[in-house]
Amino acid sequence: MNQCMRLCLFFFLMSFASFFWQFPALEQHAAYAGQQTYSIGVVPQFEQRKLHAIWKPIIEDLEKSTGLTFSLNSTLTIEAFEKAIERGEFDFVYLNPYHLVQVHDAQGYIPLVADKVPLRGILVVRKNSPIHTPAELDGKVVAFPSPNAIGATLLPKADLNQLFHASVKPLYVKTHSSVYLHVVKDLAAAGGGVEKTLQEQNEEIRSALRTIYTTRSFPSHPVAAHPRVPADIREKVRKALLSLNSSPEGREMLRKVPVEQLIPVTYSDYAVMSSWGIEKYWQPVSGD
Amino acid sequence: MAVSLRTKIFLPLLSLMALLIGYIYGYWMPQSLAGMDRQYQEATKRHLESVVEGMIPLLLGRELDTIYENFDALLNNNSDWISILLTDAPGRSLYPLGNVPGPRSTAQVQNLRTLTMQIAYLDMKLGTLTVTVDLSMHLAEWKREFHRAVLVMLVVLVGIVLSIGIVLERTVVRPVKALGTAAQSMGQARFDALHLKAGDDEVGHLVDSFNAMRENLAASYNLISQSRDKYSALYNETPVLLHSEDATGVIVEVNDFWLKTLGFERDEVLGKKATDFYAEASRQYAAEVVRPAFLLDGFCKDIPYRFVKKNGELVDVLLSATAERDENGNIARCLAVIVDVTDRRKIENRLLLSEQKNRAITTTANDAIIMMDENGYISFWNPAAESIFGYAAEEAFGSYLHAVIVPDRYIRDYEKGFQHFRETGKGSAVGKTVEMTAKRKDGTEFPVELSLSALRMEGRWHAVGFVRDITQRKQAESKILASLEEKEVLLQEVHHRVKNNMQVIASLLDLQLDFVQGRRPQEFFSDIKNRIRAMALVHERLYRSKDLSNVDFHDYISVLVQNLYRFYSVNPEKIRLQLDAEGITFGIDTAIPLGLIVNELVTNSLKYAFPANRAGEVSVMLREVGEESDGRRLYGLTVRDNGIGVPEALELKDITTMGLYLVTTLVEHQLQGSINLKRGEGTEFIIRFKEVKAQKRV
Repeated sequence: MNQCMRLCLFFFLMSFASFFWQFPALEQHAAYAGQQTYSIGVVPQFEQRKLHAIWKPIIEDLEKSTGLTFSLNSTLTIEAFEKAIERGEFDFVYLNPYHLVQVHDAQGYIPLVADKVPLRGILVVRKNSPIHTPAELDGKVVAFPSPNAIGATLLPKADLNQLFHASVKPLYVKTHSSVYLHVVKDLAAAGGGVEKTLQEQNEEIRSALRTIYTTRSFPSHPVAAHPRVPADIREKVRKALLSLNSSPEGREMLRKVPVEQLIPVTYSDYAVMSSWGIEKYWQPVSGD
Repeated sequence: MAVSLRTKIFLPLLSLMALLIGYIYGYWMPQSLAGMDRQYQEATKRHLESVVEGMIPLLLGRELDTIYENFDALLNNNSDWISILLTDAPGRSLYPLGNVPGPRSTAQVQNLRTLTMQIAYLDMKLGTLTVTVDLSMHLAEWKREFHRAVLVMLVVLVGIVLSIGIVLERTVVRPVKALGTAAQSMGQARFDALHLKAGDDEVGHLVDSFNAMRENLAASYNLISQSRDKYSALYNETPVLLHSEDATGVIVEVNDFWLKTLGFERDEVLGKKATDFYAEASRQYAAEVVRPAFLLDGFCKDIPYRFVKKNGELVDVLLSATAERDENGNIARCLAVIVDVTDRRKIENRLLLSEQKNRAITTTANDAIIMMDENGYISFWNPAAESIFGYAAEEAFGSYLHAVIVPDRYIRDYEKGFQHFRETGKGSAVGKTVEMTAKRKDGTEFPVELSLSALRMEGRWHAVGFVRDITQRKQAESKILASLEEKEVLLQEVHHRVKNNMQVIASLLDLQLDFVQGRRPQEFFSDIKNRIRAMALVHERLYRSKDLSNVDFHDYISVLVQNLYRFYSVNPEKIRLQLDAEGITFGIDTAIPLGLIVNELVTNSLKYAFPANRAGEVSVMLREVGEESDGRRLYGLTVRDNGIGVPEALELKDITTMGLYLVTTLVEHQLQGSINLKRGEGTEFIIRFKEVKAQKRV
């Protein structure tokens, strides 16, 4: 009798324990089902504090206008960001245009809005530099933000190589601002950037630089949504972002991104970049 | 130089404050600034270390923009950081974008500190970080804080000093000032300054002590003032002449009595030499005799001088003086006390004269004058005493009086009386003149008359006796007494014989009545007989009395009226007699007319007032009613009956009867009195008269 009762108690306890073992999985499923907090990833164009200062007000405005909850996420490096978007970690993401193309097959991020002003890559030298053409950069140290930056690295490198047959020694310095400073401080003979980021530099830097080459234009950085985000939420976010154009406060927030004016975009606006032959300059993220 | 209590207390405090401030600014503040400098550099260095740590990944990652942002932020956040210089390992400038800014002012250069740190990762040198910081702001802030703290400290110190000052002012300075003021007032002999309020502290105890001292001083001063006033009053009002002279003999002070006595005003005296007021002889005596001795001894006593009054009169004085000497022993001042003895001299002269008179009297007196001291010894014995008692004055002086002059058998009695006299000054013979028996030197006894008086001298009783030898007088008195007794016998015999003769006359009238025809003549004879008997009765009462000159009138009237009752056969039960004349006596000159008057008036009442055997009462009352200015006594005689009375028409002036005529004649001429008739229930005669003085007869 006693042995029979102990057996019954054992099965009861095991059943109880298996119930609580299953509970976290149930809770995660419920969270996805409710989708109350959406992550927003931002490409680390700037150092983290500045990035936070730019995007936090925009996120708060989004929450206020959509009634949704967002968490701002970023990574310390471009490489880590690329890994994150390849894994589809962010529900919403502000990313390079070519990143959108690169991870389209893997994650299928859907672009929602982007600056209406297109991007153009540039090569800059110090104002008093003896170099006046890209061809003169052959063999020189040229600073780039990161290996896979479409406007500042991939397109200039492809053009230098393909159009001007110049082979440069790339020096990756993380950000566009760092590129410009390296050039100004004569740490590099030239630097790759985009027009928009150069315009954002202060007058002292801009006046110290001279653009010797501008690439073709391409659509600006989009805000894209992961396909797992419901369409109505995506639409709600798109409208909320577009509504920032209509208020001075919104425009001021966008100006810091920097975005002049947001417009609705689709993937077709970016799909053309896959035909530019820059894949061979793309450097996959190592170790992943 | 006078230094106030405040200065004495505040000067050290302020000096300490100045020293403290000097120490703070001269030593402590530079030291503190140097310490601050070191601490700040250390803090900046620690800060730089953390910055360097942060720079390593940025330099490794070539994140020049982040480095710029960080350094810009550092410069923005640390206003005291003037510049940051970052160079890479080869020494190329990484930061700042332009040139390193230099100091803004020369003063700033002094406070600039440059800190340099190497940035390395493992063995790889990444660069050098050089930071220039400006301590000016920190030092200025620190200086401001320091100055604020010093200011607060100064304020606190000033507050403490002020508090001390206020407390000092209230608890010490004011009371001490008040004490000073009160002390100055006391110095000016004013003790009525505000009474100081004492607190319960040392100053309060001082104030208490001062108040007690002031009260004591005030009391002492009052006593001194009173004493001074008394002295001044005594000096001016004492009845002696007082003046003070300086060393040269010039009068510098003089009292009122001096001026009053000599008749000068003060201005006339002060500044003049005292000898200016001496008579010439006194001035010479003072110069030659008195002053040399005075200069030597410093005093003189009772020097007889003569002063000259303003009116020229001379004043005899006795001058005593004492000198005050200076520290060198020289006479600086002298006080003269001058007694006006002019009157005393007169009295002394009078006394001398009196003494001479007394001596003459006692010497020339016939009576012995003897004085006995309180122990019974002879202290005075005049020449008469020598002759009376036979002792020379030398023998008598100091001898025991009673043993000298009192017979031995009386000595014991005298001793008893003398003991009482010595204690009380009283005795049976004191104040009287008594006769006694005395004893001569040869032992014979003799009568003396002693007038003894008591005299108190120096608290003891002395006796002064005037002794008169009355041996001869006693002998004369014995003869006179014998003669007087002989005369009294003779007078009794005279009165007896007069009475007998009057009795004979009355008997003769009785015999004659047998031969007189008619009632009326018999009445005349009877009346005459009764009148003679009345007079005879006076002589009988005189020779029967011890005093041959006076008659007891109560007895006389009693006998007289009884005789009349018997003569007129009146029943005394029916006509009662009221008699009141107790204690009244008269001489023969009054008794005879008054006896005749009573005889007539009572006879008249017995004969006519009670007809038909009528009962009634006869009253005779004699009273002394007063005294005349010449010493003669006034008397009132009332003879009254309650009989039928006299006719209304009868007036005394119109009386023709012998009896009443005799009465009015005797009253008016013999007794010089008045008679009054009063009518009423019966008849009442009221007679006022004077006692008739007996006339000396040859």
